[in-house]
Amino acid sequence: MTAEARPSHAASPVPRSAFRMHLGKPWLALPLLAFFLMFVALPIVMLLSAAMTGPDGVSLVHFTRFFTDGLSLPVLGRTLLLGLATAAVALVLGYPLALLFVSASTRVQRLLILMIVLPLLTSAVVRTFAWVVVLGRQGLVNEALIWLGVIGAPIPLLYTEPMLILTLAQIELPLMTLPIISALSLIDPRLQEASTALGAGRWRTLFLVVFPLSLPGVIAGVLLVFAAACGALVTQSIVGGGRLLFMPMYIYQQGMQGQNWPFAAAISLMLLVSVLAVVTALNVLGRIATRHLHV
Amino acid sequence: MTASISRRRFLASGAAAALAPGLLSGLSGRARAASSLVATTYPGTWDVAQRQILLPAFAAATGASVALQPVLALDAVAKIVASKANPPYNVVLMDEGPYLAALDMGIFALLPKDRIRNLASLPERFIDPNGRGAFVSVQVMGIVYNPIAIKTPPTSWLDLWKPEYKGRVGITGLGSSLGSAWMVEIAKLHGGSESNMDPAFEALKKLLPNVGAVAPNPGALATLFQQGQVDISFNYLNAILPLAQRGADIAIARPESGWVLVRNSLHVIENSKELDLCYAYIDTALSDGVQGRMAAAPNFLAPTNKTVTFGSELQKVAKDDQELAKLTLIDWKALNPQRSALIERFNKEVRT
Repeated sequence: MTAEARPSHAASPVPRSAFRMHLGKPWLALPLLAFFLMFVALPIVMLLSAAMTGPDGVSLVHFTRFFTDGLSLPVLGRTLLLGLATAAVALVLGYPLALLFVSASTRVQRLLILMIVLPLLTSAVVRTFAWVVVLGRQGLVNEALIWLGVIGAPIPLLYTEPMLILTLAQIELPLMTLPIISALSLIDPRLQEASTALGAGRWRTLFLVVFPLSLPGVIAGVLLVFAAACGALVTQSIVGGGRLLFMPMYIYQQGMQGQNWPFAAAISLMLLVSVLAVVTALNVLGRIATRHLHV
Repeated sequence: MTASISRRRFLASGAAAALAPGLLSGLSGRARAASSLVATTYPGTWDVAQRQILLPAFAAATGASVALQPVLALDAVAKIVASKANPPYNVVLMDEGPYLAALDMGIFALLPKDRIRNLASLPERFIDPNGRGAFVSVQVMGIVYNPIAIKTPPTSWLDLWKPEYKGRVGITGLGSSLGSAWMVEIAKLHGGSESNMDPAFEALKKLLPNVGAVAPNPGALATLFQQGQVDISFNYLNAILPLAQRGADIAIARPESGWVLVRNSLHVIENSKELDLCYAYIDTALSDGVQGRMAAAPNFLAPTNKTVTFGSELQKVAKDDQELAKLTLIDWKALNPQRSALIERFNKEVRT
């Protein structure tokens, strides 16, 4: 994508002939295609047919309800906002971490990569409960603030949206950091030297050279964190509590507790479509932003 | 070349490995099939109690084993309905709300009375009039509070509305039997009933300033006390007493409108195999030996079998089976049709 910006950089370590060889064997993708048809395309068709099942035959009643019941749309909007906010916080936390990583020595890098990946090795449920311990009324944060005399009585942290966003951002942080690291390490170090030689300071180099070149990684990270945060049923319900309702819990409620499968199918599809729409929009934005790099 | 051979060999050995258990089970097919059941339980204390008490008793009576799956009642119903011809479970644990809601789906088999001898030991009130299940225990709902923060035990559900409990009340929604039963009691206290739940929602609106947390499920409601998030709530005796015995600051009190009962039942699933074992499993669960131990510390699941004597903790709820059978029951038949709409309304009203 940014090859033009650094023509001296080989496009890929893999020789061109290797690509041709793989392209010559498209059947290699058949198992994947079969897998997708069986486990992605077919379920979506089934979901759609379930969602279109009204009291008497085919009907759009469940979709009409989605747009008119005054609850579903706000829940969807809130879920998408939660995803975007989480991605924004994770970006703010993850980008400096990625910068630190690429500028560190190999030995420090080994340590850092372990620390970045370590959370992925613990289940999200365990990490969520750790946050419950941290955020509770008698949790670490409240106890520390009381001890410091900042507050007199515990303040509500658990079951609030800002803390849910923070929790999700921490839990999904590796998904943000890893793609940015890979984008940053692809940047030709000579470009930064050139920028400095041409008189730009460190910050200017960071914002005008390094950040734009790392955009593909940033976009990938934002997409991953956004999608993961939108669907994080466990963290949303445990740290968010019963008063913050997001789409995954809403779908579960309608499907399991309400046994209203057609409506559950309809809201699942709405979530799928809206997440895809946001993902597409981010992708397009990313493409527009990286196009400028060709200048 | 070598790579492809080794891959082929790998695949072949993989196939052999996959087939082996099938062949082995084919050899001992009859013996294996005749000795195992898949039954559901609820996650948490139920799971532990049934593993420790019911399964060994069942194994001793029949020589068969049970794969116990912790799954919530409505989730189990959803899985069975999705695969009616070949159900994933032989026997399921339900509470009366989800059971009656799923009754019309035709997934619960009729229980032959003559095959389950212990059914004769149940009082009238604990016998399923539909003949498709057996009530094996009773969960008792009362007011839960933190005895350190609240010195005088609460006496009424309406105590949750007291201004001094601002931000200290925990509740859960109508997705669970617990939350539904509580909302019914609140409706009744304000002139409503199972078929007129409006008063409960009016009252709920006034409760919101006091609500410190809305738990997504009953299990999370109990842990809110241990996290110090809330001081007063509602829950089942069998969820609270084990915590109290482990030293948590938690106690349960009788509401002056009376303890509320939610009955738990076992059901054989339609199209299930191994019917003899299914009946034996339910019969064992109804036996006084198993129910007596389920009723004792640390489980406190009130028995349905008349011959079980009540321990000291259960005597605070009811002296004996006759008194137990007089306590409040919820009319789930009247409530269930509105359940989906009520869950929705609860969502709307408590959402911040």
